[in-house]
Amino acid sequence: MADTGNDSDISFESADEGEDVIQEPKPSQEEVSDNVKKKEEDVSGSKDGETLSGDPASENKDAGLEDVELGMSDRKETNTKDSEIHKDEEQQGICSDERTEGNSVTDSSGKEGAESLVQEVGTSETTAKDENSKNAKLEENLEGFAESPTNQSIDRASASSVLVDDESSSKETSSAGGGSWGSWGSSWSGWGTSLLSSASATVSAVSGSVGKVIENVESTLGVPKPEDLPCDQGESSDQKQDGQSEATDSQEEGHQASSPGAAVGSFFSYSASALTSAVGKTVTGGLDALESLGKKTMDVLQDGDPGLRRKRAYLRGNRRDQPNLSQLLREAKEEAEERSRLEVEEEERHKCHFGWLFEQNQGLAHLEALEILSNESETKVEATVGGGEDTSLEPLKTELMEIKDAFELEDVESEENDESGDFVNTITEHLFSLSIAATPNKLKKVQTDAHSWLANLEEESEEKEKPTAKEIHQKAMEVLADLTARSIEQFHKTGELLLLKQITEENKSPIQQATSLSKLTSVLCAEVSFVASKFSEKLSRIAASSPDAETVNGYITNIFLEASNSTSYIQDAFQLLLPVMQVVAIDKRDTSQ
Amino acid sequence: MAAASNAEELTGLPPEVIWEYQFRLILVGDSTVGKSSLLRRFCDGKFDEVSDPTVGVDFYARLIEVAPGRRVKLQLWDTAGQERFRSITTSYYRNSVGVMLVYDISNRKSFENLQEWLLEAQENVIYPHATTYMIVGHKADLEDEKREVLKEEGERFSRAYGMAFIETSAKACINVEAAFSVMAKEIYVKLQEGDLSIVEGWDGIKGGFSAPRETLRLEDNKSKQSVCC
Repeated sequence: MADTGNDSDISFESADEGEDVIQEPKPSQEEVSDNVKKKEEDVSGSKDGETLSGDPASENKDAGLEDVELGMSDRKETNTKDSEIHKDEEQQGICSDERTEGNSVTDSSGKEGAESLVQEVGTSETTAKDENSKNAKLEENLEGFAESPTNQSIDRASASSVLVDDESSSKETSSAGGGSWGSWGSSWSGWGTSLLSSASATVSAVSGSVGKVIENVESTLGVPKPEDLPCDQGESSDQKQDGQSEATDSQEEGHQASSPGAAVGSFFSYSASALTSAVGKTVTGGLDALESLGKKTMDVLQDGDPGLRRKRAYLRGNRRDQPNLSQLLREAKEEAEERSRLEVEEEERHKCHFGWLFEQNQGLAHLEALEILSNESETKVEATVGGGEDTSLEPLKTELMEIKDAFELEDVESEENDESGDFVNTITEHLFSLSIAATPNKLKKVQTDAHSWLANLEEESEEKEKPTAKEIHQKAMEVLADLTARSIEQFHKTGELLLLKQITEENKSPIQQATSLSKLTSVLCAEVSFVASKFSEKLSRIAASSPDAETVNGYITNIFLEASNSTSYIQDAFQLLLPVMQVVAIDKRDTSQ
Repeated sequence: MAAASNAEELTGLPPEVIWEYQFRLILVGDSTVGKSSLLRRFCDGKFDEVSDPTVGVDFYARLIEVAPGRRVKLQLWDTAGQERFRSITTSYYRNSVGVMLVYDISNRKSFENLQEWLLEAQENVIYPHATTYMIVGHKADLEDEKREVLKEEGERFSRAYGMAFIETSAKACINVEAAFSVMAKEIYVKLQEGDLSIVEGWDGIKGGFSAPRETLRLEDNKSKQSVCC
């Protein structure tokens, strides 16, 4: 009954997805296959149009079967070809989206068909059974035959005209189910319910075996749970139904030709019976397809990987890698922390480092600020005397040169300033000779502190509690750094004050001021070396009686080294004052003119 | 008072704390508004009733936490407010990433001069748009009858220029910590968001430089000891 229906209506015949395959290969598969294969090749070469009749189409299906047997990769190729061919078939008037949809219907192993035709399935259980048995037989003969969906699509590829019908009717199959279910829901409800109940039995059986196959494949591979699958598929088929019900109207119009004059109701009852058998075949065919697909997949998967050990490890490996990565990062972090802790300790040891202490005392900041002043002054000087050969500038240039000469440091004159009073007095004197209101309070304090500390050391040495060599070294560094920083600060302040243009009558000439600055520098440097030698003296006394003389000697060397650093800082700062002094000279000349 | 204990706590930080960046801030404003006092309170935790006027510029430094576990070193340039130093102090703006404009709430003139200070700052900073400004109304401990500038006025001024505003007192230790914290955080956020960056040859922002950088650090901390003034 169903068969008749199918035969009479071409569109349904092709719509049956797997069914045709089941029916058509009645001629022995092996016989046809060779020819078909050739044909297949031809077809895929010369594309469509050659095979429009039903027979070649079926043969092509067989060819497709063969093809599938060759392996999954081949099948993929064929599919790709199919879709390419499809795209060329513009006369179909069906957009490629729809086609893809049709394909996906097929590829989802007839599930969609099963769902949309649930109503009808029940009415012809017998047919379905028949088909089942047919299927079983066929399956025995043809290994991999069940890939009927794929065959179907191959079929489409080779026989384009068939395809057109195939496509549209496959649409209708589902739309007839889905669309009518919605539009005529009320009148159909009674019938639908009964259909549904009987159908559900079939479907549940079907889905049961589908589930098994899926389970088989998936459990071995550790892919998402089969439970999730029905939901997903349900969703997707819902979506399809929606889309297709929209298309229903237009498609029905197109099919008026195949069922002219038929009332909608009769059309549906007619199609229902046709569909019933079709679906039964589709479902079972699809199932078989799935099963052999699964088997095939397993074969391929297990090829060269017995027990799937490697693939399993690969799939699970991803999960295990993550903790590994975080572990790795954590270890790296710990390592980095450990290293930075060591660095901090290292830094602590450097706490008695001259450079660091110098910065802590803002010596660097003062030096930087002094540099800013110096650079600006230099720009100013260059702007004044740099440009052109102005003879009126000659006296000024000479003066500037003289100032520069005054900045050439002579060797430290003497070391008379053993006493703190001398030091402070000398400095104050020199600063006063610069005619600036700067008092060397900070310098004085540092110097006094250092001297009293050293004096205390002398006294303490008579008692039992002596500072260790390390402590003396530390103190020496502190004193040197502080002294240097304060010296730089003094120069910085001097520079600032010099630039304030506090020019009065009794001002000394810039050359005199430069000489004073030079002397001041000498005094400061002398003080640095004096302090350094005092500390070294103490240390060498310890070194003589110390078992660890080497370390102490290292300290002494370090003190002398840093003392020379200190001296060069001070002299650098002094040199930075040269442009400042020259600006003073320029300003003075400007005001006097 | 919370600020007071806070300040006490932070001044006692060990010198070898890690800092990520160094921000250079400059404090400007009329003479005797209390710039040096503010800085001395912030850095040394001390307050002197009498102090000498600043000559040219002085320097202070302190670490401050700008985000949990993130410290920056503030290098603070304390400029002389006296008019005679103006020509010199303008040279010091260029390497600053932030400018604190300080006025005395009991000195109307110092508030009115803010406009001028702001103009001077904008003319002399290297990156005018990247510079963060803040208005600080100082001597907030003074009783109301001595107040010559209302808090609202200060707020209005700062809002007009899109700056942060705070009233502080070095003497009573009010908001001293907060003032610098607000500024440092604002700069830090700008830095994090890419509005600011370390520029070679510009000392407004520096990376902590004493830590070797080849080590893998998940948290990009640079260790550097710093002052506890």
